[in-house]
Amino acid sequence: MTLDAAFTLTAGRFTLDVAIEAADEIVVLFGASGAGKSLTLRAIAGLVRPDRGHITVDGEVLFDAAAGVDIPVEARRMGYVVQELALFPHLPVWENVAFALAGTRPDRRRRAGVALAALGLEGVADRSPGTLSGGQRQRVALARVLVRDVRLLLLDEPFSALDDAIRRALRLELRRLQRELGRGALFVTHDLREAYLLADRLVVLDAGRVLQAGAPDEIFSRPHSRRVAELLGVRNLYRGRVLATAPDSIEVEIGPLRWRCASWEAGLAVGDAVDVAVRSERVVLRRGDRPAVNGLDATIEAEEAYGANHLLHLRPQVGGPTIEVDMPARPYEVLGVATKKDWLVEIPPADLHVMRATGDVPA
Amino acid sequence: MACGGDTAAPATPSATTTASAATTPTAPPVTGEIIVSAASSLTEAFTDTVKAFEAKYAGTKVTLNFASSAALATQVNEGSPADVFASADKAQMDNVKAERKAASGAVFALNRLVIAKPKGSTAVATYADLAKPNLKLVLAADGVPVGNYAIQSLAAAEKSVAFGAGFQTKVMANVKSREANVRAVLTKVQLGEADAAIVYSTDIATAPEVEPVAIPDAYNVTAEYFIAPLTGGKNAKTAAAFVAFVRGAEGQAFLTKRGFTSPPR
Amino acid sequence: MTLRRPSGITLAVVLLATVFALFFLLPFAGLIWRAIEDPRAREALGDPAVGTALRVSLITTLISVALSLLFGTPVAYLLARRQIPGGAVLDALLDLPIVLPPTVAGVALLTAFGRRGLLGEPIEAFTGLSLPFTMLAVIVAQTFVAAPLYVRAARAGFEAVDPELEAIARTLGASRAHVFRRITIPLARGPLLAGAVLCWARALGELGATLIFAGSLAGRTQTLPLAVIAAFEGGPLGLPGAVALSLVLLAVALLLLGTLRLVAKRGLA
Repeated sequence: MTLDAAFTLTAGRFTLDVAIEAADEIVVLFGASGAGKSLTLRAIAGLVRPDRGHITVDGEVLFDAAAGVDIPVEARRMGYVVQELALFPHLPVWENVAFALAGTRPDRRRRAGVALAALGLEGVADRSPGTLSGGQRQRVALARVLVRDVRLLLLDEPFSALDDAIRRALRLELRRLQRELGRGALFVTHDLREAYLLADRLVVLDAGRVLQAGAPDEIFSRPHSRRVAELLGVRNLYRGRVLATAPDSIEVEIGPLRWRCASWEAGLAVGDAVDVAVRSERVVLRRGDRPAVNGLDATIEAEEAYGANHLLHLRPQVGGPTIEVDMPARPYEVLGVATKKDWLVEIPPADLHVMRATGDVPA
Repeated sequence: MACGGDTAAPATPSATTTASAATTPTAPPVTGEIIVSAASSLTEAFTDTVKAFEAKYAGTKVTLNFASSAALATQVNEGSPADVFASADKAQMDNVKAERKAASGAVFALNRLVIAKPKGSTAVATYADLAKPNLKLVLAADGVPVGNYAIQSLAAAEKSVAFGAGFQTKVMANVKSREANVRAVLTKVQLGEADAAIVYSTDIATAPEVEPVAIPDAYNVTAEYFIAPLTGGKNAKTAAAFVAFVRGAEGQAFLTKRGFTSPPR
Repeated sequence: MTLRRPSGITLAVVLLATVFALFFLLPFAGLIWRAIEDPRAREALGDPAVGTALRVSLITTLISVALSLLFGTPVAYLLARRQIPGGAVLDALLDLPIVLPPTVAGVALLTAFGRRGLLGEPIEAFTGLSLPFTMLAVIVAQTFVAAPLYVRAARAGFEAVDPELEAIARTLGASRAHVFRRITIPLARGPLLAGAVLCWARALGELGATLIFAGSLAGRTQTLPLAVIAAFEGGPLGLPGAVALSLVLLAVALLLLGTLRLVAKRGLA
């Protein structure tokens, strides 16, 4: 299966302008709410009509504005599942699953039974959807799309309404099913963990546009822009300037701080304005000798504890921006962070990623 | 359909004198309000009559209630508070008398039947044309005086040599609707929905869109109009005065002006 | 539970409610009392004229309801989904027959479909057929005043059906027609049936528009309410006949309302 979709569509003041490719893999559309993720799926499903562009699956044109092609929803063979599931409340489970199947009643019922069994649902065929648990309903929704030979799964935050434990189980199951079926899936989520866990490819959407697409690790370690870094949960983002470049690193000036960075976007030259990203869990508090590079003295100004982690706000003693440090409870206790406020901070160059400056820096 | 008692109807000096003479304390005065339930064919004639009556007897107010005599008789028998009943036939007056709602009834006007057709229509030129196939004929309902009179007329024609047996059946096959009163019958012709209808000759003049086709005297029917004060009325003196007024020279003049005939004395 | 002295307000409410209930109960009690007390009314119940009027009423109202469902259902659905250009105008227009006196509806129908009406005149000129005084005219009058009640109810019913369910059903491979039949209609079933029953009741009680537009002829255009009028206004059945006919109407109305209640209950379940 290959999907090739590139289209624009305007809905009120919102404009969606996306290009998405997928093969037999799980492509996660990741973004904040309102980024246009769901609208993208609806357009591919055929429920909304783009203004321009095309949608092609396995070489078959489902939509082409220029050529006037618009295959109706029911003929697109998409396995579309939404968070609300939209099970038909008036039909028993098996009729939900067999809803659009042709054939005799016993035959339809048999096929629904097979699909339900494949998802580990036995003995619920005659029950009303309203009497099922959240996890069971979710499986029915999946069975309903998998009972047919769909070309592509379109999954719009299908697990968001479930408990963590069930979500984890269903994610694993989805992975298994996807491999077994050999079908591609577009999976929409705003949950970063879920995105990492499922994605073969990650597409970061924001304000109706694709900001970055690629392997999740690649995007995780090398975001293209400040906004992508923000969306991926980077807490330390600094506006600075390139001081010097070398084959294996570049040096960046951020206020009074000078850092060596080992990861950077191509094409940067001395003097360019840049954004520097470092994840809060990558910043190290240490005792003893000052490190050779990127060491600085800083004072803890504030801290907050959440669950098993502590988030520390450190102010460099030479001045400059606050550095946030995410520290698990165990090292926090071993180091005695609770009583010691002045620390030597180290940021390994490999964990500092430099991007061309974009947008305004939030105050 | 109340007529305002305060309209500046020209009152003759003699009328004013009579009115004041009637307000002497020795007898109940002719004053106050009465309700007159009258056949709808009397609409124009009685509207004129009431104006003159109210002018003659100052302080009186007559409220007119027009419907088919049959409907009025039912209302009176069910206790509707009318003072005078003017029926278009004897049967409905007898109905009221049978329930002891009226003691006597006197003929006060005569009327004749006529065929009404939309002006310029050629569907009906003679009485015999009523039997033409596919004609749309409208009559008043059974029990409504003009409906009964129409049936009597058709029955008379049926017995005659000129029309012969089967005439009435053919005409009745053309009947498309039986309306509640003569004015509803006439309206169907006015609107052009009906090709013909049998109504009173007095009704024709009230509808400019309609013209008459005569019914030969041999098969025509004389409608006798009866009037009586009602026993359940609240104002017997004024009711009696109104009945006398209608039967008197002034009242008869209003009726003949609208095409009614006075009964022989 | 301790007994407390009812307050003045409670007494007033109970009193008002009792008076109100009696106000609605007494006329029906009167009708039944008259039927029991007056042997002529009981005799009239067996009069073939009553059967004739009932037959005309049943034939015409059943066809009127069928037409209302046939034409009203798609209109109600499009209105609910706001898919008609000028839907707001149509919506307001559909309110008119509900608000206007039926007699006005009758006159309006004459001006459109009468022999001299906008459409009636050319139709008669070409085909020689005219609508007034026919059973079809009764059906037209009933549909005109009653169909809007169905459309209103059906529209509300369709609005309560989540469009997402229909969308999802289509992604599963079902055609629009299949989705409408298997999802939309079943989910809106309660309001649709309630609307149909209301529509039927209204058609059954239709008087003014029918009288003006279709006239009154036993066996053809004289429905039960028209027969009541004819009997009351001096027809051969007379007042006892009017009572008998009213009882028949009352029985049919009670049957309809009972059905409505049943439907409403099952719709909730």
